[in-house]
Amino acid sequence: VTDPALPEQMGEDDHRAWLDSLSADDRLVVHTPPGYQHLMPWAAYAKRALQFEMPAGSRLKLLEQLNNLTDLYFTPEMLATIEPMSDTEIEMMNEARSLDREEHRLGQACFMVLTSWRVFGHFRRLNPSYLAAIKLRERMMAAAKPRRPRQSINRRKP
Amino acid sequence: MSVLQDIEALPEWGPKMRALANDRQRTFVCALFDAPPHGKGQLIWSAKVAGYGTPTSTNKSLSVIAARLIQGEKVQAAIQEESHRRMRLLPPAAITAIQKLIADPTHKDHARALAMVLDRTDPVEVKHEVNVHHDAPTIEMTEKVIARIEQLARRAGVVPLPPPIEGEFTVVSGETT
Repeated sequence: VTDPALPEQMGEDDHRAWLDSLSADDRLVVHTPPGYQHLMPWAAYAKRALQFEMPAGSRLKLLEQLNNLTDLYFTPEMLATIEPMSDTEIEMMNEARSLDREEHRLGQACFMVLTSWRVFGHFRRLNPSYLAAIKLRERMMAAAKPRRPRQSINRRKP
Repeated sequence: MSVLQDIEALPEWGPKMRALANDRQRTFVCALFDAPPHGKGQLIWSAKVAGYGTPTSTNKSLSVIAARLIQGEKVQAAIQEESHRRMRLLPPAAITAIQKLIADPTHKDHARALAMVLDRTDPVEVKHEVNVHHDAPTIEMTEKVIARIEQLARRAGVVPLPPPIEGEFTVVSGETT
């Protein structure tokens, strides 16, 4: 499956031209690592599941799993921004999940589909909270203090 | 009497036997295989048969001669070559011995000999069934899923993404200013 976001499939020059043609929002998405693009639909999926009745133990387990998605890149604030999935998204997600068998716990095929430019593009249009989360990260990065360059310990004094 | 004199025609030596200095050394190597077992005068007997020493040489002096001979690299290589050659000649003797063993049902290893022969003439077949399932989805399957996702997105009113590169092109002349 060809994906324009992958330079090895387009050729370097075509990929560069494609990047130049993108809007600012699209460029933000392109520069989001696929692993984090993959997390966002799953977070929305889990949030949708939490809207239904379930045993307290299952709910706690799901909440813990949701909490475990966060790290230094995908912050709790970004997680809080993501809205639960709609019915259409759920259907799309189930289609993507159908590519992996139950024993494939890594879900490689599903990952490839969900993080492809076309499919993630549909997800972020149906659920604008993904792009909002990506933008939030950009704002947080911009607000962060720039680090001072580390001075060498062995520098001799003049 | 030399061992070599016992046979009518001289054997065709292998390259390592030919590399030995003389026939006495070759005879010494051959005699080692016919000599009494090691520890019972094997080296002395071989040296004597090969013609080393004099009629008055003591066993001590013959053992020194043999020990020096056997330390030589060429002699050791020739012994190895002769060992391999004689090993290849053993099967007829082994088969004769097995035939005797099979013919004697009272022998304690009779059943083992039978099993050994049957294993070689009609080996037990062992079948290994290896099933390899390639579960990864095909490109067609993936394309089908993506098409279904796009159909769902269209139904929800999502405009399809533009193609990767869009533009209008005109052919320009090669002249540049």
